[in-house]
Amino acid sequence: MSPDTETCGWQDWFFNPFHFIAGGRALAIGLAVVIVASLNGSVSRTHLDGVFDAHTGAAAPLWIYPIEGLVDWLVMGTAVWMAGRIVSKSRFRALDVYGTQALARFPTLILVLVPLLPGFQRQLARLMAQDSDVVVGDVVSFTVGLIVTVVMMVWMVALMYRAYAVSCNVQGRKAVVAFIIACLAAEAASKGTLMAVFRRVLS
Amino acid sequence: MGKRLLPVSCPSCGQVLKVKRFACPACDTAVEGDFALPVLARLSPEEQEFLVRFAECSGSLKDMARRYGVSYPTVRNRLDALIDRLGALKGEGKEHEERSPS
Repeated sequence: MSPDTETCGWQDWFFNPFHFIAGGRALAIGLAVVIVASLNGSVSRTHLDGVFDAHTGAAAPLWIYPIEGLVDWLVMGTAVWMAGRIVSKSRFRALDVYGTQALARFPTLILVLVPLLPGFQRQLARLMAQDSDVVVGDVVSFTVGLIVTVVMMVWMVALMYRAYAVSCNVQGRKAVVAFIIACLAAEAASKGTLMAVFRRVLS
Repeated sequence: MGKRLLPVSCPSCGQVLKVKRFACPACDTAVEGDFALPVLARLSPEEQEFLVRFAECSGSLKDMARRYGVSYPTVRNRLDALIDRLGALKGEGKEHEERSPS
């Protein structure tokens, strides 16, 4: 470390903000991200109904959106914490794991706004109805939306991996394999948890 | 001229160097012998700097993180890496002692 406070480039803030932010601060910002993304999702009718899922179209009561976001975060945090316990040789804090995983969901703030692009919903409806009409503006809007969605998802996974690597102090092949298994388990568990919660609440 | 780094390993064979001679810069008195480098001197300048800061912060990782504007796990991970390195250096030292003729 240099004698003064460490400085950072834009790429650090984009791909490894956890070098500078973790613990309670990351948790506070991350929870704000989860809640704001959920509320924006309610406007665009976008459901983050799984750790790596985003579906648009279905209207739902407002309270469903934050529950989806919170379940995604809690399940992924727990999966990563368990992976860290297995792979890491260091002692680490659950606060850092859950805090950084919440902050890693930052790209969902942008992702949930994609369906608000003009023409996106019209083109989606056309595709769902297998309508062969082509409106160039709508197709362009839809394509841009898809690209943004993929980029945001990739960015989120990259952030989640860096959050796991920093908070659990892991690296190398074993860490990557454990992360992939944690992601798969978290995706399945979040889907199952959300279904169970909604079945119980809505029945 | 900038501060020169203390050489800790042989540029030819990579073996850990030993100190053979000390000299007083004031009166030129020299002491010769066979002195092993202390483990801390064999750390890199960055690692030594980290240890100095660790002591300055009374061993509080939270204070270090706050003072240097990095997160707690970043400091914790550096400390873990340093602990591993110290363990490896001590292991190397023991191995070297066992190999050297008494």
